Amino acid sequence: MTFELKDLGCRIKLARPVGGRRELIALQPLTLSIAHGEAIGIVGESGSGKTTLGRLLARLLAPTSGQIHFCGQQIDILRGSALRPWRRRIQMVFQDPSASFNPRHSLARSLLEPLQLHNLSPDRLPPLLQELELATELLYRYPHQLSGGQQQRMALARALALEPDCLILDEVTAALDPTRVAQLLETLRQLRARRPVTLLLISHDLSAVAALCDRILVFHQGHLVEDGSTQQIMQQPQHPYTQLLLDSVPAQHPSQRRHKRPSSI
Amino acid sequence: MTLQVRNLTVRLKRPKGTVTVVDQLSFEVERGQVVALVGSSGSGKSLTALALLGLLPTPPALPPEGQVLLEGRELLELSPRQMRRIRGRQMAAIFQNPGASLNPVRRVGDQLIEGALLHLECDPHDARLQALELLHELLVPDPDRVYDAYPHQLSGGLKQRVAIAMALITRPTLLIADEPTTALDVTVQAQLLALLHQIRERYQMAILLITHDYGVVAEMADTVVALKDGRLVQAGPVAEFFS
Repeated sequence: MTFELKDLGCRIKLARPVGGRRELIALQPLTLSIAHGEAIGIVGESGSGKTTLGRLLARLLAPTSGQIHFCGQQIDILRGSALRPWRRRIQMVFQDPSASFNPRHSLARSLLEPLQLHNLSPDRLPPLLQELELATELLYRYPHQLSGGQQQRMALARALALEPDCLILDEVTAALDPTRVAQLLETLRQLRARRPVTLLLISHDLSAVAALCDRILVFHQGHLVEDGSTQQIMQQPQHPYTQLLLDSVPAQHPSQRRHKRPSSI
Repeated sequence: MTLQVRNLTVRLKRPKGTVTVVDQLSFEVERGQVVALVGSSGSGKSLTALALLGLLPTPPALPPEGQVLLEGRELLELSPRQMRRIRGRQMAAIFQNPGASLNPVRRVGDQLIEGALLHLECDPHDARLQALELLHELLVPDPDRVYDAYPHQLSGGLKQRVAIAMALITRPTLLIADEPTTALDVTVQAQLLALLHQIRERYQMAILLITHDYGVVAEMADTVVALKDGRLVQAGPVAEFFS
């Protein structure tokens, strides 16, 4: 198993009470196993706990309850230098690529820094960039000089250069147009075919998740409400919220168009 | 015909000369029709919308060329002052990020009635009643509370409904919706698409929908106008586009 989660939960203290509450339950305690090489889609609406789970697994957020075991090691108790080698093995790519890079550093500096930190050779970068259809010259540019799609692939290259065992992708397709989404999904598919990396795709784009993942976790208001194979979730959803999510996916052809009566938000 | 665009050309001034970003684009939108303007990022969709609204930043853009006829009236020849009378009255727009469409330090209601006060010369009391009725029609829960709220107190979906209400309060003949659901969750997106259907049917409004989401096109559009590098590559009925 890559990940073993035991009663993992997260509560966030609010700076000011909201509706009499002083804390927000971002993720209700959950117990879960993720096998090595599995591609898992994590879906749900904003505030459902998807990103919180991703950040907990990447150790960017500390859990308030439970344990995280990664490749047999309990990582939620590790700090500082003890955690560093594990950070290399779990990489996360975020939704807004422009916010992922220091705007005052060239991309070369941003991409080489983690390699230096982990004593890895920079030679692995050029073939990786080629694979992601990024010209090596782009490394000498600053983030604002690249398009959104190029920035997103650079962020992916930075994560992949560390050869992680687990790659967490948080809404990486949200800012991309359909052609770019298709290209990115194809790149990830090829990557998985070559190397058994565990992939967690956090998204509210169910078609992207279904195209890439073997298993889907559905979150709603901090709860894991459904966990099943992609086929089972897409064809026989058990939870009403999963059904609502699937019903909300726009038609793929005008002949499948539905005129839905909207309910209140 | 509500909107006729003929040979619209938009050029941007660059240090090394001018770049044509929208090239000889022609299309039409009829009353009660939804026309989807589609294309990948950088294809010129949003610049087309800004040119129609008279909101192109000049510079770097040069004044657009061609013809834009709204109910037979040529818009590109109008002065900024004349254009301000049309924008918000006869044509209105909703944008991708509803948060950026609202002033964060003014209450929602004050912003909502601004169009009615300015263009319809309503008194504030009538404008408030109209705004509350519109929020109710748009299925906004507790319209009075939303009317008195500040934008940050509303969810993304509610902010987008408020932005739609702001656009609709003057009953424009043309609504330009630029990626109206891109920033929203799939469930909220479905609700808003259903609302746009209702709006179109109720007000027989012409809608120009700008999107790169083919799912939204399949759900909403009657006609598709596809752009690539600023040029029209395909135009026709939605079923033809998908086949």
